[in-house]
Amino acid sequence: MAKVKSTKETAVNEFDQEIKGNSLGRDAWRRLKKNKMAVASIFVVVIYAFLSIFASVLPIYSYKEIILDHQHLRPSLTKTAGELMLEKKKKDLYFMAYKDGRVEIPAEDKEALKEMSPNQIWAYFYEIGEAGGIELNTSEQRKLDRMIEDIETELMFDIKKINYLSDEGKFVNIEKLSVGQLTEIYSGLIGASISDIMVQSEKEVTLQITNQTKVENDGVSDEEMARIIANELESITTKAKDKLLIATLVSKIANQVEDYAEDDLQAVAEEGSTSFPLTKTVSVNDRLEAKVQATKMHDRKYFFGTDYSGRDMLSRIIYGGQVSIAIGFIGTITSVLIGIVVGAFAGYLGGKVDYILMRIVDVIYGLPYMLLVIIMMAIFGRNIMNLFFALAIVSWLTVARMVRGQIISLKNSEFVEAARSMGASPGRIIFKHLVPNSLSIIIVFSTLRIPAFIMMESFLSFLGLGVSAPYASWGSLVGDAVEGMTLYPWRLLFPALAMTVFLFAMNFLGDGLRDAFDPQSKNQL
Amino acid sequence: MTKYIIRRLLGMIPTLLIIITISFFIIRIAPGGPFDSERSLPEQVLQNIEAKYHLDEPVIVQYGRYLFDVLRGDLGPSYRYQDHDVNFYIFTSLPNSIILGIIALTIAIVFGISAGMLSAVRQNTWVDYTTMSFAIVGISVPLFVIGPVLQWIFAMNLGWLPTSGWIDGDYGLKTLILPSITLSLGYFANIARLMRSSMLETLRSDYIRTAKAKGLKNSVILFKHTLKGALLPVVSYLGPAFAGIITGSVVVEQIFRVPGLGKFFVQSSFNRDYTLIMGVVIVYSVILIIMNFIVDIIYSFLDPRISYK
Repeated sequence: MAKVKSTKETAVNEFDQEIKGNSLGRDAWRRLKKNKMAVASIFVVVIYAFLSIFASVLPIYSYKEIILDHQHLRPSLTKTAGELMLEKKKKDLYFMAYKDGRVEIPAEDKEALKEMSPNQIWAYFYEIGEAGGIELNTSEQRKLDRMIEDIETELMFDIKKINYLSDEGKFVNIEKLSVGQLTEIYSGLIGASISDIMVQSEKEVTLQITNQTKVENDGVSDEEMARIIANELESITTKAKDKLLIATLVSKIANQVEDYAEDDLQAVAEEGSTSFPLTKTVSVNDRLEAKVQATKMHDRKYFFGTDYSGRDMLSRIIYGGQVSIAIGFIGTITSVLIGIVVGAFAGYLGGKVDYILMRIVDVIYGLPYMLLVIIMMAIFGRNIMNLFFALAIVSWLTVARMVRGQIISLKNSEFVEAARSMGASPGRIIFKHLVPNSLSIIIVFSTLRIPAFIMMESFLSFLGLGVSAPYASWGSLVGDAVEGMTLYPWRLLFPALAMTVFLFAMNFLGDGLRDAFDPQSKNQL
Repeated sequence: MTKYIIRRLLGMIPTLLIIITISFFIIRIAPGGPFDSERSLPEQVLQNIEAKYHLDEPVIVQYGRYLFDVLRGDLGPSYRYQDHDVNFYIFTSLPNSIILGIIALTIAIVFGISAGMLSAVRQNTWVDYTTMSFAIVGISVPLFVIGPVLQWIFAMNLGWLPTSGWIDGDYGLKTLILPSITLSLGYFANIARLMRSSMLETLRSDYIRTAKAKGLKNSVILFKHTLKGALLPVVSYLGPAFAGIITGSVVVEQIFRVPGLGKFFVQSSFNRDYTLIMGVVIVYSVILIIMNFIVDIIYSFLDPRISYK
């Protein structure tokens, strides 16, 4: 096929066709594109990456907002939280009516009930009840009516912005005000004296710092803790303290504003003619106004259901994925970097260095290292940084071995010889010549390493030794769900599914990349 | 050969020493002790307790004492449970874990090797595709997802098997089925994939062609010539597989409420029961080291090319 002649002189073969050089990367990409599963996996991984990166701007509910009324609602695409709450309540009441002997059912159904799971039994009575077969007594009916009323009227407020009319006659966001001004505003709102408020907020900030320090230094003795806390309180800068004070005061003012908004809007909601969600500017007094978004609390829809404290499963899965995927990627990168450095030095320098480094690797390899990670997590406290650190420490071994082997096989080749004769330092030879040449293997290995890393993280979180609430990871979500899986199967199903799909995709992608970079390995593991 | 075995046996000692040292010092540098509780104890009581467990001595003396005790086979008293010492807890729960582990490993090896062979012999047919798709499921799905899902299907919805319990309970041997399948699935999958690829490679090798040329029966070629050669990568995978099964059993015992060592391990890590944690780690490591040793011996029998020098 004749190509468009470029102005540059190009090599041409005997049929006058242009000879084009093909890099390893381009060649691998061509082979990868033929692998349908791998391409599909790339799409899946991109979607997951998109969801986790943009989790905070997606139109989903907060992952840590607790609404106790919404506890354990089943997933539904069409029904709102209010309808589901009502359904749950009715199931409960109908079943109680049966227990009290107020419901007549056929004898064969009675037998069948014994075999049914709780969910099926509830569904059975719900069906009878909705068809009008169960009479509720007045107190039950009253309970239901009250609930229906609450569902229709209860509001939730999201305060977008609070503005304050400054002395210059301009509205400014109160977050930009000074501690003094905020204290003044707040004292104006609640009518307490300025000095009282100052003392109170100082106390709260101290408490905040104390609690924070306690969480960070979990497990030290009491005296030690007291010393650390005193130290922490002393060393905090005025600026940092002011920041905390401002945050405390702003949230206090916001609470007041919410009360105002509630007074203002509750009547509107009860009247029933306005449609929600509603965004309104509420004037608290002549200098303070706030932009408030009011939504009906029970109009929410939970596509994936809710968990034991009424948190939205969908957003918990997305945020959990964020944590899991981040630990998978960052952990893999860290462990691969450590492995490359150790492996490259061992391989290139050889001799005693190689011997010592590889014996260390051998010994750690022989350890039941997951058990050591478990001990480390149990002892040094359960937070994401520790988890990540503990996993990275134990997982660089295989990379080190692999890179070492690769470097040994490359270090006597001509291009290295050439570099050496030009006077390149060992560091330069390793990182400019040897490592880039083993990069394809390293990339392939890393891709297969990510799912393994995610599995390890989830494994620990499942045991309760990894990520802890309010944060979530796929492992901790599954771990939480195991307890009530007969009654609330969705809590197990969705995180498990989300995780499995991602792990599948990563494994397929890793396999695809390996086949693409090294076609001869097609039939190896 | 004997020399090789002796050398390997001697080589285990430093590994074990390192394990004991690492876990001893990780635990000692940890913040908080086993006797920290909500209620702070009077100074004198605390001192007495520390004296009883020798915690008032310098760390290096404690280390020496512990090492000496372990060599005599005494893992010390438990800091949490007053009734018995660590040896008692470990040796009442260890057999249960070993039963579970051995069954799981057997399932993984037997089914993994046969599935791998089958899909290699029937390469690129539906048998091959089904087995390999199943294998990728086993690799991708973590066992703490497989466990609850199997429980949900077979115990709760179908009611065929008990959700949890152990062989001494009402359900007897039936309780073994779900935990051992859960534990073995991942290793089954890896072994099947390994077996398939090494089998394919061996089938193409020269000595198989020679065997065919000699007119040997297909079954003889397959089971006598190919199998032996193809088993090598699988055997070398057994070491990591066993380590994985030990770790995995911690989770599986949690899910299926098996009264094994893994449950103790997690509990004692939460309790900061130092001696019990270390006891469990040492026992697990000894098992692991012995398994690796056995794997090496099997390997050297299968592959005469390995030198023992």
